[in-house]
Amino acid sequence: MSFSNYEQTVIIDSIALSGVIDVNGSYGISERPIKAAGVGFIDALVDKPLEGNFTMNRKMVSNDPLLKMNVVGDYLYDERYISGAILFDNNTKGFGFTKARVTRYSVSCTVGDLPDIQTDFTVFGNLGSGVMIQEATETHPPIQFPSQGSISVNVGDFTVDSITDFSYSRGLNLQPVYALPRGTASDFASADPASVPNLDPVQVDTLYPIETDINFTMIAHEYQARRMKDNLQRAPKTDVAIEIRDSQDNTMINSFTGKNVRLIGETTSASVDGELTISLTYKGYETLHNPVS
Amino acid sequence: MTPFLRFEDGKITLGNKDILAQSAQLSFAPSLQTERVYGNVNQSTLGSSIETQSRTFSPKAGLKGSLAVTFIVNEEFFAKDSTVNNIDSLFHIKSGMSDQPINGNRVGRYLFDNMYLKSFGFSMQPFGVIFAKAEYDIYGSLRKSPSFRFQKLSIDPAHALKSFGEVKASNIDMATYVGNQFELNSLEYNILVERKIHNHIRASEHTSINTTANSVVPVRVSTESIEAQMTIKGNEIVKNLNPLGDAQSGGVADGLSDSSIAAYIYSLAGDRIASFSCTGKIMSQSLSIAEGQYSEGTITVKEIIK
Repeated sequence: MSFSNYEQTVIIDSIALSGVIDVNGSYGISERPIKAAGVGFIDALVDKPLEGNFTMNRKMVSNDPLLKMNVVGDYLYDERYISGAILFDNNTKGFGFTKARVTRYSVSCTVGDLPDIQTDFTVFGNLGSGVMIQEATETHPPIQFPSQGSISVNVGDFTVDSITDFSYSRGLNLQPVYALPRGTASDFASADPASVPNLDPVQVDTLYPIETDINFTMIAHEYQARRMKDNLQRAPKTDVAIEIRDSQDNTMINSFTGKNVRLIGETTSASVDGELTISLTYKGYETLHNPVS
Repeated sequence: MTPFLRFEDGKITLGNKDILAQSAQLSFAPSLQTERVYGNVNQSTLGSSIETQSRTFSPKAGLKGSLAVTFIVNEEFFAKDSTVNNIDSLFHIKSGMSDQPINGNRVGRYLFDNMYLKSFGFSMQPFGVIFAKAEYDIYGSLRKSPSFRFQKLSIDPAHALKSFGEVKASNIDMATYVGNQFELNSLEYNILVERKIHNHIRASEHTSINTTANSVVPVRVSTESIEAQMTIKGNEIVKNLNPLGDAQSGGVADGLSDSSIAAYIYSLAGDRIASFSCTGKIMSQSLSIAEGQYSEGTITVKEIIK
């Protein structure tokens, strides 16, 4: 029996997500070939911890439940495990994961389209059928749609011209720490397995800084590309804010801000097919507790 | 026969038992002393141009070699369920161990006898296969023979996925003692035996010793001392370490129990293989923190077995 797309539900952190285009989950076992002198190859055995990957592509149709922040304005997903599942067959079966951490969160949009959200996870817990088969228990934020007139990109040190597309991406490098299993002499005496098997990492840390990449393309009106050597010497920093608002009531759906980001690239393009465009690329670094300026 | 022996054809045998070796390093070195005899003294230069009249090398002792082997730990190498395995003596260093040599040894195309275990050790890292290493002293020479291979259709080696460790600071579980979750990044076990060789002067003097390349071999290699040492790396070190090598939380230094580190080795399938422990004093500990790494503590406990 197969299950069509309308029979599937994607649950992340107890919320049934809307706007999901596709979800892919996978894992691979790392093996080490075992060879012995006088024998050669004997077998290949597991040699590294098992980690899975999960990617999810969505259209932005609401405030993103993944973008919850703590009291100091940092995204909760920077330091927190996430669990979820793809449920089907009346939510009785599914493919889920536990102890996942976001490794990349990106948003991109071009004129005429709804913004796309791509989220990559690394799974440090379990991944597979029958994992996290739980229906949504939390309410999804209200559905809201932006239009091209309700999306804006604001740069701190100049007024932008007409934007034709943008992308925003945060990449998180994670460092899992694995430890040996723990047990006691009585475990061994009774031929029991380790009391604490430590199959999951004992700790997963985000390696700071988190790199933020912002790229947008403007149709050239007033803006003129900077001189390369001047930019190298001045290396100015600025804030870039992307605001995505509801097309009907203009309330904020999602906003993304790159603080103290530096312009690292400009591309001017002219072709017979269109207008003169300028693409600007900014890069910023978010630290743990030592804000850069 | 190809001039260079392939790894797959170079069987390694210790005590007539084929082992699953990852690597082996066999070396021999005669103990030679240089002798110089000077002559032709030129008195007109007040002896400043003395010539060396003869140069010879003389042996100071019999031929001695060494073997270092890294191998896969399999249950057949150790006592299982307290039943002593006949291959035990190859790797088990213990008080009261035999002084008898291990004969019937092969590394690739070479055979040799008169081998004595000097050290044994292994290390555990999370999710890794456990490889052990052993070092032997060899007395006498080696012979050449055709190479051999053997079959091993399946394997269930010691693996850190199922094996586990335990650390106690002065007999108090480490997590309880430090008041924090205590995790092990790695565990290393080493046991070292110091031996003394005995030669009979008359036997070594007889010219018959030169009729074979073996020449002088000791009549006995006795065990002088045995020391075991275990080192762990983890997230904590022992607080209140006192000069006696004990963890002293209270006001009395006397009567504190020894500290211990234990490793319980299981196969990948979950079968028990062997347990190793070291109960004694904390010989050293250190804490390091570096850019891009975590704060990591290292604790070493040593036990005097003999």
